Amino acid sequence: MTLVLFVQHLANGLITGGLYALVAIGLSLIYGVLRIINFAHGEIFAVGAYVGFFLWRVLGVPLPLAFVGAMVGTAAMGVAAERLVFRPLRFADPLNSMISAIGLSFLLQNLILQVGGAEPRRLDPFMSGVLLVGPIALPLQYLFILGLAGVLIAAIEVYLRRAWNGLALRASSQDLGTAALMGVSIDRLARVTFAAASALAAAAGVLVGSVFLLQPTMGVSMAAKCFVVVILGGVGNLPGAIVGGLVLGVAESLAVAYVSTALRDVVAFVVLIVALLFRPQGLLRGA
Amino acid sequence: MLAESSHRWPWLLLLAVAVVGPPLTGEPYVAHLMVLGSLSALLAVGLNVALGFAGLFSFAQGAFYGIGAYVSALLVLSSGAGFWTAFLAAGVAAGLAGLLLGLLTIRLGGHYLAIATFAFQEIVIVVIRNWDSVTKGPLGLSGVPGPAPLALPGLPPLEFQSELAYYYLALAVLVLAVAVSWRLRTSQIGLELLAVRDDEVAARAMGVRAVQLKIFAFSASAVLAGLAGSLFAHYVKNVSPESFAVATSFAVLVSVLVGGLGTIMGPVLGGIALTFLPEYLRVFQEHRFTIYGALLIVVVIALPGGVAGGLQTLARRWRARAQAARP
Repeated sequence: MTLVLFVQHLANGLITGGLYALVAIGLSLIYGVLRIINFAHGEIFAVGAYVGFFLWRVLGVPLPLAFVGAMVGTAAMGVAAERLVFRPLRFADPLNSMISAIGLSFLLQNLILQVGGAEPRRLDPFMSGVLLVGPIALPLQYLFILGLAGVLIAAIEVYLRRAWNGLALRASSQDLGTAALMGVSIDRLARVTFAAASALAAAAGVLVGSVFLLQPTMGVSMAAKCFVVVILGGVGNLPGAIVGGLVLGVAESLAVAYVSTALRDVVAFVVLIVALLFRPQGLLRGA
Repeated sequence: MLAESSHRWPWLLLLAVAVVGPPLTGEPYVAHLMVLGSLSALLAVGLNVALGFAGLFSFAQGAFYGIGAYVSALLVLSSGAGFWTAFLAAGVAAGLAGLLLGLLTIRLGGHYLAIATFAFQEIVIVVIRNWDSVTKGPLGLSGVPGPAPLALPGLPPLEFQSELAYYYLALAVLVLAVAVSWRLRTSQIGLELLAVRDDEVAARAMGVRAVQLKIFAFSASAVLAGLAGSLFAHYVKNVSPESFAVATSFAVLVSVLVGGLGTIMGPVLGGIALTFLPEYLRVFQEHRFTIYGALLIVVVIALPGGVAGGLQTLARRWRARAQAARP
């Protein structure tokens, strides 16, 4: 019985971890390529969730289409944010783009509050039903989320390895200046980076909304956790972000189950301090 | 001009406006905002010591502020200590917390330090929120008494009951903090800090003890935040965790950068201006924080050196033109 419970908690942790990974990949990508600490990334995640909710609830779009619509719409918003908020500061002191990001997060959070209202919202689950594996009950919805997160992460990995833009992105994250000299258009690269990062965050937003609740401030704690994930995995390291997300999700789930629910939000930060002290280079990088 | 010039008049002018302005308006609400503005300025002056002088990112200023507020309030409420004892204890407690965090993280540097302090900020808030037996959790402490009248020899006792009187108390602490930060900036230690900020390797090669200096700057910045926290607790009389959350740390960072990083007066102007700004945006009602966010973006893009930086540029141009006009 205890083993069953343990597996159940493990599964819950993996789901949350998968969602962390989706958001953290974008954060890591933006930092890796453009050296921007995007404090507004949590709000982009929240915008994605609300766009999905709006399409589904107000316009009556079927849920899977609303999911895709949210990704596309939020990607467009990410591109606009890059153009208006970050591009003018590309060659300024990095502190300035940090402030700009904080301003953007203020702006988006309050826009969501005004357009979406303060009350928590919820989306329908994508799937109902339970898969029984021996004595362990796994809701299909959870499996679906984990699967979808996996597919999206695999897609971005393949994109980064195969597509020309992906190669350019990886080259630029190593050396932006040289990449520019080799004919990579930095403007185009910044667009692609923000579009991909925002689309992934939106996907996570809609998925979160189908399990938990949508709230205007939902991006704040998500962003905080994802900073931890990014550090844990190694800044700019995408497989690291995935591993970091899963590790954090599982650690939280187990701490809540076996120690205390009050610990949920501390776990991330204790993990972070420990990681910074002992493996500041990230879990996946050799010493 | 406002940063490190030999001119005294801009300073004296500002101080005169700060002393005479609020009573002239006759509005207690202005005095109230000036109290809050002075506290923001105090926090910003503190962060400026770490970030502006030593180049140390910190998102933990809100946490130190909270530590100061809770230590001060708890001391007075539980042990019956006087305000002034509690005020000093708040500074010491926050300073020790800063020292501890500094010892743990100062070698990280750059963006890592920023994120580690961000984590510390979150941990402190979670602890305050959940340590019910001491901090009363999310509800916070209420009934924190104001400072007792201060009896100075040869003067009538100073009361701090009204908003205006409390404002003068906060202003006095702020002026003191600005004087200390100015003295620090022009001292040997200050110059060494700037050297570490601009090129740590070169500074170390010249014999500057970089790590100790950085830890010192970090702790000093925490001390100022702790003092501000104590002033806050005994002013609003209620302390709850939300006042010290990460949004506060963001606001402090924004006031330093909008005011002018590394200048003396910039953080003061930034702290006060950003306290008043949301009030002026009240006409936009529920849109005001949206506009506040948009304004931040515009200011950062238009004035990359902050307001003080912008003023310096203007003054330089004006001086150059005056020189060019001379035959």
